[in-house]
Amino acid sequence: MSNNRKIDFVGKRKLAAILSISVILIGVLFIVTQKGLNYNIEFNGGYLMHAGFSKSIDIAELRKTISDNDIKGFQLQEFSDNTANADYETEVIIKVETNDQNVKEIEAKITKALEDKYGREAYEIRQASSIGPKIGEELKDSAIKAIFWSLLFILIYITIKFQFRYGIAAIVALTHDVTITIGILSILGYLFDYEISLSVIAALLTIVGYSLNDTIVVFVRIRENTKKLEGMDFDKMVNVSINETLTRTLLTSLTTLLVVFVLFLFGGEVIRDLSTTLLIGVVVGTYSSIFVASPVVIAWNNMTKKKKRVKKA
Amino acid sequence: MNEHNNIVRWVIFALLFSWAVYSLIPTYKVYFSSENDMIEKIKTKVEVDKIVMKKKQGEKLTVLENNLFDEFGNDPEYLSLAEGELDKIAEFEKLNQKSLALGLDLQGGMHLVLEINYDQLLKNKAKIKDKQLEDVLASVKAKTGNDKSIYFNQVRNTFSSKSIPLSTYFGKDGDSDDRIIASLDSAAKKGIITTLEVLRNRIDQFGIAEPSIQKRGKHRIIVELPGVKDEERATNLVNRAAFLEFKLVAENEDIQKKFDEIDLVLLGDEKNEDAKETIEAVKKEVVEADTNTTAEDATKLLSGATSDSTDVVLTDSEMIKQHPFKALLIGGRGGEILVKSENKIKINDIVKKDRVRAILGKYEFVWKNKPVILNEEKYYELFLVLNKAELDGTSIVEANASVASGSSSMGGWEVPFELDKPGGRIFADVTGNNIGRRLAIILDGKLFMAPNINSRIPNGRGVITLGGSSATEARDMAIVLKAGALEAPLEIMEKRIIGPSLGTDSIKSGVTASIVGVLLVIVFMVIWYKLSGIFAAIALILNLIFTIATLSYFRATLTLPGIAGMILTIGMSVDANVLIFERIKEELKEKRTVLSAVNAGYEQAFKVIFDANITTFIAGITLYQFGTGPIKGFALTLMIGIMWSMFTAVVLTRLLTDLYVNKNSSKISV
Repeated sequence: MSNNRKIDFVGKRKLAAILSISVILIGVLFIVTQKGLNYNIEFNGGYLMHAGFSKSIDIAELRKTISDNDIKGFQLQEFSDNTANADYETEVIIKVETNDQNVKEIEAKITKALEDKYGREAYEIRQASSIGPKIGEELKDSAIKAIFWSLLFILIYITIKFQFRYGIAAIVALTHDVTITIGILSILGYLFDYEISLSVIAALLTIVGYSLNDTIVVFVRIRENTKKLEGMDFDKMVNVSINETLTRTLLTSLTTLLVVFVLFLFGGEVIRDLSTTLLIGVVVGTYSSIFVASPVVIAWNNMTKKKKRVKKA
Repeated sequence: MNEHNNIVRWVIFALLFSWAVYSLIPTYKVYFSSENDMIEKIKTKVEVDKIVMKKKQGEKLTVLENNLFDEFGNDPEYLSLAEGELDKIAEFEKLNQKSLALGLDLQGGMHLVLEINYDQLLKNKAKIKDKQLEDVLASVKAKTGNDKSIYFNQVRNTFSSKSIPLSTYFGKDGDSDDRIIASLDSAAKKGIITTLEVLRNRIDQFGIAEPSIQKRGKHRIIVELPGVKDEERATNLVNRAAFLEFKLVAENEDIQKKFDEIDLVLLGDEKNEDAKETIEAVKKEVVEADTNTTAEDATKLLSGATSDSTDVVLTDSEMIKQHPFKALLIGGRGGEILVKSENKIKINDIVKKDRVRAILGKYEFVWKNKPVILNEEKYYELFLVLNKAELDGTSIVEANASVASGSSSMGGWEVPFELDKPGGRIFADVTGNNIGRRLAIILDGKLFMAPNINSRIPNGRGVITLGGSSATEARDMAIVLKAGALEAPLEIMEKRIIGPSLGTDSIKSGVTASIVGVLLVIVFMVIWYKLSGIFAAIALILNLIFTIATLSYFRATLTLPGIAGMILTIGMSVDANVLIFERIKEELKEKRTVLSAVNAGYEQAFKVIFDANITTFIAGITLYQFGTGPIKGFALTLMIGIMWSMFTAVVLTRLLTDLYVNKNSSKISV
């Protein structure tokens, strides 16, 4: 790929802004209509059991068994994909969300229901979690704190290394990435039963780091070109910088996307939410470092220019 | 100058590479050698052995234990441990200590978050337990919700709003509210610490390699039990109340006698299988040998420092032949009986034998809670005590660590304790009748201390003097004494169990994803950059090796998200190389020679690489701070991976490129 390619990214920044804002709005509106994010039991508290039955069982019958034992509001899903274990004929996940203190009771009831119906020999508990509501509350709290602190530290670092306006531009880009990713996840959640788990938060923070990586490469080039191409119009110079780094941005995104996709395909159900989030995030992050971060710097620049002109006049 | 730099680079690289290979050897042996299956089998044998014992003693078995018994209990191969099998486990454990640890999500296990139950604590502490108290506490509970930090404030406010003085229920009559709140708060704090100690002491009954019990925040304990398959047993262990006992230590001559008798029995057992008629002869021989070596035994037991430095007349193998039991024991400086940690399990095995138990009679063996380290070896102290407890911990009312008051004690520490009335009476008798003997303080079957009884203690107020010991030791002792009446009830806030089969599946999918990921990236890089792509691929593989080596070296735990982090760094680490190669391409257009383009390319690119990676690192640090187990693993591998990717890209690909450019100074394929 030649470096002489000139695509007018900066010129398309208004179009990009419209696109970004509408996607963000759709996501936010969707979340609002769903009355908030769809958190999993790690955040909401509850009980989850993943059991493997050595013989095939009837899911409807299992559902009846559980509800007959006075357990309300449970979700039952059969679990089968390329990563399912061949030792089990049927694998199920039983989930009860509750923010009461009675998680222990639910756990006991479900365990007993299964034992009575199928016998302890018939299945193996592959995974079980019972989480009290307090833990969940704290997790939400610390997740928000984690995202906030990493954004703040990044702002400080970029301000020191570049300028405050670059820092702000980076934060705008990152917030953009996180909001869009969460929005898409919520819509996916509505369609395919995706939930916000701890892994999703981890993936979001990784996206923050990753997307910034791309953004900074462009920023460094802008800083270099400010000296090298002195006298050139700022908008144009930014566009040249984006173009010069474009091959690198795309190549790195491609290799990262490649591995994330592999992770999505082969990584298994346990980290499916992590890999899905990364998959969305890498795409959005690449987009934002081209179409969001630098245009924000330009916008800031234009604003200060106008102010100066006003002062002069 | 460049030449010189490269030599330095090669040396650094060679050193780091050898370090990486060295760090990976134990991991390789533990996870990939053929011994693995055998060790699993031996471990199952040990388990079955224990279950058979439990069954014999009429203890209740858990479901899993029952299953195991049904499966192997009648299989003769599994019923007894062959010679040397225990050694193999000990050896394997040693290796395991140096290899990459797998997280709970990969090897299965249990994760528990325990929280102190203030509500229950106050109910336990209350002098009167009536309806009014329950009502008030219920309203406090409703008001505080999830925020434990305001609990005691709420207690004070609620009581005073109903104008009930706190002293009606807690503390002494007439105590101020402030004072009572302070004392309740400190009881809660101490309760957590006591529980922590009790759990630590207890949990190694599982024989798992790395249990982790940590305090988090003010009122929480996090317990991680990797590899635990029996959830029922684990939960029982955590929920059970602590059990503290006082037992008398056997006198020296009794100890010697029992040791000799055990040796005889063991020898008898061995020969039994050969021929019956030789037994008498052997016994005779042994008795003779015994009288001959008593003197040496005595020196070995009482004066020698460790086995290495003692000049014993018998060689090791003769010693083992003639004294199968005593050969395992080593005399410490203070006359204590020490056992190398790898022999501990052997002794436990011997002690379990019916005939040995018959010999021990009213005595039993107990282990000291913590090992001593001599010449970098771990030793456990073994005690022979009377199996009947003189007193148990429920009689203890108060125990505190304090600086010794007497002028003779020279700033040592002591632990005064107070017993209730019936306990005090028993204690007076026991101490009065046994002056000069040692009294063992045993918590959950493990001995913490065995102080000498210096005089009769009449009024239920005793003092344990710890000459020259540290403050921590004194505090630990007070904690142990109070563990008898565990003050702070705990509730399980979070419980996660991961079955071993799920862990195995996760490892499989993690490994598959890594291999496919690496291959795809390599193919991509080679197609795109040709020769330089091969350099990048080599850097990539070394990056992986270095990352895993670092994890092994620091005993970090690999989790499934950790593997995901590693895969992600595979994709991202190529970035450093891409940046460099693209830069070189640009420089090639401006510079005249390949060499100068390469130099400029590396220099310019490094600035960008550094700036860009630092930010990912910042995100990694916050992630590490915020995350729990698996997520921490993800953050850690991500950070380590980034660091190594900078190194391999800047040092290694540079070396390879230079090597190539020096030979073919006219061209480079980027």
